[in-house]
Amino acid sequence: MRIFCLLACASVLLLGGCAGKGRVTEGEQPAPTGKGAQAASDGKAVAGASDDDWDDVAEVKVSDPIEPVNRGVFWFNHQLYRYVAKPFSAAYRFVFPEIVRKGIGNAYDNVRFPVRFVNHTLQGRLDRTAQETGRFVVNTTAGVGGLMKPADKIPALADVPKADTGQTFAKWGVPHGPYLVFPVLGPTSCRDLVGTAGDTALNPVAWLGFLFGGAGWTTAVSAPSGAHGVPDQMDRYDAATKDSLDPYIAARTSYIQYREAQKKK
Amino acid sequence: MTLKKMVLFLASAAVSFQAFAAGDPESTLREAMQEAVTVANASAGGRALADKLQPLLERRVCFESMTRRAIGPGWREFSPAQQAEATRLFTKLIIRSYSNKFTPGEEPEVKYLKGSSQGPDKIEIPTSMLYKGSRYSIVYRMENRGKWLITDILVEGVSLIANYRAQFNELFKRGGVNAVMDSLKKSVADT
Repeated sequence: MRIFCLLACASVLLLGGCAGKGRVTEGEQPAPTGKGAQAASDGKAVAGASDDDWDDVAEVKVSDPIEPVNRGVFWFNHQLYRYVAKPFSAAYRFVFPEIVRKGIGNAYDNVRFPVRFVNHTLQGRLDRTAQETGRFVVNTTAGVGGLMKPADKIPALADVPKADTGQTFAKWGVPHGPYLVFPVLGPTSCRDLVGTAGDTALNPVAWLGFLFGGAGWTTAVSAPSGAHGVPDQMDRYDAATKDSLDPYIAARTSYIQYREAQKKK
Repeated sequence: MTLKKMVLFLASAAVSFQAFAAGDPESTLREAMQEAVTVANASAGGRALADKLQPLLERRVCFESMTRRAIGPGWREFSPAQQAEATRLFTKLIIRSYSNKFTPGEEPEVKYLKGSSQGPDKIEIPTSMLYKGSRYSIVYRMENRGKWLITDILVEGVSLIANYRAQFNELFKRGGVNAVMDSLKKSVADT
């Protein structure tokens, strides 16, 4: 529950700050100065390749007014991932066979149904609300409490895009606001932070914490993806930052691009 | 047939021939994926796999265009020799990164979705890939440059080029061409 309280307090504090505009760091590119600059000389330049097609790359903008602080937290998280989360992931994968891990992940995903139900509705996608409800019923009954996902085999219920509160705000036109890196939780933006607080409030696992006085395990499983999600999060972190020139910027642009893609779903 | 009609006919025939010669982008992509998986499964992974995949990927991916777009307008300030070196290093970095994602013996299950044209000779092919129990949404951007070549890959909406562009921009602003080259050399040297 501490995480929830922290998020709720932080979101209230930061809501005011969201309105302000910070320094836009990504997407600031020098304007192309003209056509016909020199082509690559390695002999691999292909006919028809113009060298002023830089604008094909989607511009991704986010303001990062507290970059030095964010970089500090990013460094801290990196050490934490390296020395705590990675060994945890390896141990978790060693202890639980894939089928068990999959079952835990599925059940957790199933129980988060209210998050998706409410947000599809708030986004005006009643068709998806109905699909989600269908998925929940099928997976909870035929899927033995959500341990399996038989709904994936039903074409009308498979491939329903996920919905969350940050995404709903995005669809309503709320901008990201400043980019933030939180200890342990990692990258977020002001908008998505408030969204995460909303998701936590809609997560039944977190309600158990309210009812039973915040037992430690509810904190672990009601965090954005739960302890079982750590191995997958590590994979995503590696995918975004491995082989990068500046892992901080790689993680920032990946986060913002990923959220933009979800907004379009 | 009037002369004008004949010219039009010949012109359209030439265009269709060119399209035919380039093949169909989805089949090209399927072939490329199959080749890569076959090579990956016959290898122990790691650096040996990167070396084996290099010639194959250089036939299928337009690394020159990838490097140019990833570096952005700063590319004009690179000398021809620096452009060639940057392309060589960036190619190595991308191939190494790609090779590390393979686990020999694991077969990806790829569902190809309907491609959407992004202008003449440009297409985006979305795919849904099931690999090692997780599903990923991967979009391939391809261009017809005599043959269909992959020019960008978007994993869960994150573009490979845009990811590196954000990093190169910062480096270029801080230290120009030399900062970009030094950083590329350092990244390729780190294994």
